[in-house]
Amino acid sequence: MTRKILIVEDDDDTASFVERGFAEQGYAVDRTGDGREGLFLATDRAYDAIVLDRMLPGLDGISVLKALRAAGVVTPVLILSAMGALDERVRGLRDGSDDYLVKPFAFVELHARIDALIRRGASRDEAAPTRLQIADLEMDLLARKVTRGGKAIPMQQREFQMLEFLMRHAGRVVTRTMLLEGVWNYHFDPQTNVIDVHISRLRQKVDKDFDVPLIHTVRGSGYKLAVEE
Amino acid sequence: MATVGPVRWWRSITVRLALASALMSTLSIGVVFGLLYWRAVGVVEDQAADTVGSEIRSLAEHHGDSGMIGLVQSVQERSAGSSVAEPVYLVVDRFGTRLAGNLLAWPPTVVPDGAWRKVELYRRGDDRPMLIGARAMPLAGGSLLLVGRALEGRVEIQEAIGEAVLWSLVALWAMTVGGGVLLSRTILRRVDEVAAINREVMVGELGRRVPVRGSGDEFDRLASSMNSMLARIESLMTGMRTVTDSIGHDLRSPLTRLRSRLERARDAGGSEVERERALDGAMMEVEATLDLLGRLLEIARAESGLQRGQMAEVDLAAVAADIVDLYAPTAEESGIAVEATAGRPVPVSGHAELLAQAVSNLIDNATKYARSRIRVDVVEDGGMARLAVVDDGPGIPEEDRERAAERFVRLDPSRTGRGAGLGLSLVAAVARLHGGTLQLSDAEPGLRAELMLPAGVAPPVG
Repeated sequence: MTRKILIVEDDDDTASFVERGFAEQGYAVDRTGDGREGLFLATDRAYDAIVLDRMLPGLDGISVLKALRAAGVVTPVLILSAMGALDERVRGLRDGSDDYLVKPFAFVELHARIDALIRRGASRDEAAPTRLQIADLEMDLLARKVTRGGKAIPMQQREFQMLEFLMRHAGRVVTRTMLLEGVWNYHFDPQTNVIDVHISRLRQKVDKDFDVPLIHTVRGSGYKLAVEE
Repeated sequence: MATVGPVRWWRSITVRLALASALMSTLSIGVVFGLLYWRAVGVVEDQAADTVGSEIRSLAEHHGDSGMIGLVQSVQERSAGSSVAEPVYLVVDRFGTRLAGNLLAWPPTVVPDGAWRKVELYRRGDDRPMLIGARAMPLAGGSLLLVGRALEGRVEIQEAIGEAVLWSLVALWAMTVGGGVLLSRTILRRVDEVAAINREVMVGELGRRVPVRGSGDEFDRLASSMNSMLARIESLMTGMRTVTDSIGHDLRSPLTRLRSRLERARDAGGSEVERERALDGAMMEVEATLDLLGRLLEIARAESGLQRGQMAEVDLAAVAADIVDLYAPTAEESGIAVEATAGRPVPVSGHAELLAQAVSNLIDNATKYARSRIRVDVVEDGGMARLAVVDDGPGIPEEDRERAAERFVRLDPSRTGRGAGLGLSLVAAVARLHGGTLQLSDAEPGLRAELMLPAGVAPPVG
């Protein structure tokens, strides 16, 4: 099934860059530079996700978002903004956006986040799982236990949270900032490779003693938990 | 923009105040002298009434002793001597015929009962009435005696007081105008002084300061508050200039490297591998540049104080624990142990995200310089929440500590690693935003960087 994405962005360069990126990834993309038009499209058609710029002619991003949510449209929305202030992010999330990305951004980051949003939207109706499983790696969310190939892997709380985050996004790219947000709940950019070190420790536990590695580094973007062919 | 010229004296508030006070003084002078006049006149009149009373009694006695002849003689003597006719006498017989005195006829309104009366009488050859106070009494044999005094003294008093009023007013207005002009010139001079400094500052002489005379008066207070404002503006401007200069400098090198890498990619010929490597390098440069810009924006944000509305109760100890947890593995990779004292919660009123960022900068900084260990302590002490990050690295020489928290300052010029010299300046900005400070001191050996914030959840000062 082709995923449909709406891009509401008035800057032509950014919009075509994003449009091209998603098209290459096999998405069907609609694009508009006008807030009102965007609101109209978003309420009229079924999209899997919406990329919404904050500053728009016609109707600004936050107003579009509020109108959408007021109209009962639950399509995941990612706000794109040059306003990097933390509080802008908080406001966007409070007003009903599902994620927030500050310009300038790398397409892989946007893609990873949109991918995660769509996935989350799709699983919204399912009952919350109590177990996660990828290949022979199993996680019991209630007992907070991890086993691989039947062998228990002792984990500290952060490691467990990281692995849970990766497993919930299994098969998809998870960026370093997504990990920092998802596991530590901080939104700033740590200057050094702190996340990489955490991942490498996790690898030691999850992959070291096994033939098939599950945690993969995706060059230039982040990590992925998957069974690679 | 409205141009503010020098204040001229007629527009000056001092002159207006002086005028208003002069008007008030004029009014009070009027009231004071009015009362004075009223009282003086009363006293003069009372005196006249007393004199006239005793004179009429003595004349009546004289009449009793020496009879009408003696009285007439005595009255004639007395009235003859006074050409001005200030004392007034009249003796009439029972038929109303004038026997003696300087009045022609008995004034009809005067009743001979001894009471003090005021009558207006005309003197011969004078068409102006004269105010007379008089007493009259009957004598034995039916004749009547009238003794009076001209109350012309009243007019004199009036004139004297009028003159006094006039001179007082002249003096008052002279003093008011003189004093007002003097005062307003003094004040104008100081206002002009301030305005002149303002103009100089406006055209870019940011170092100018309003002179403080040390008298502690209103102008001194104004001057010192203006001076602190100017100092703040100057430091902001200097900061901005430094930032623009440094951005120019710091962006030039990665952009230049980016350009050369892109050139290399273009000229790489057929080598796919080389082109890819050049592009990767270019990406890295772009990332570094964006990173630098992001950091500058963060500092600007923390300094602008926009997040004041977002302050909430934050446990500084928990934030520190989180960040230690985030950074410890990285530090351990480089052989540095991170110790954190797990203490009780230290609540502060703050912005959790910015505080976390500040703490992470401190720990990140310590990781770069520490030899073998980093200690992170969070305590509450005397109303201050203190978060100290202590490393055992080379430390910062005392003379450099103040400069260390400035933007773009890299104390070790040979350092080529990451970091644009912005870490500590973000921490300092975050501290200021929370009404606190960043203090750097010697940990013997190493650096002790201490973030001190007002403890508790009271709103931050400043």
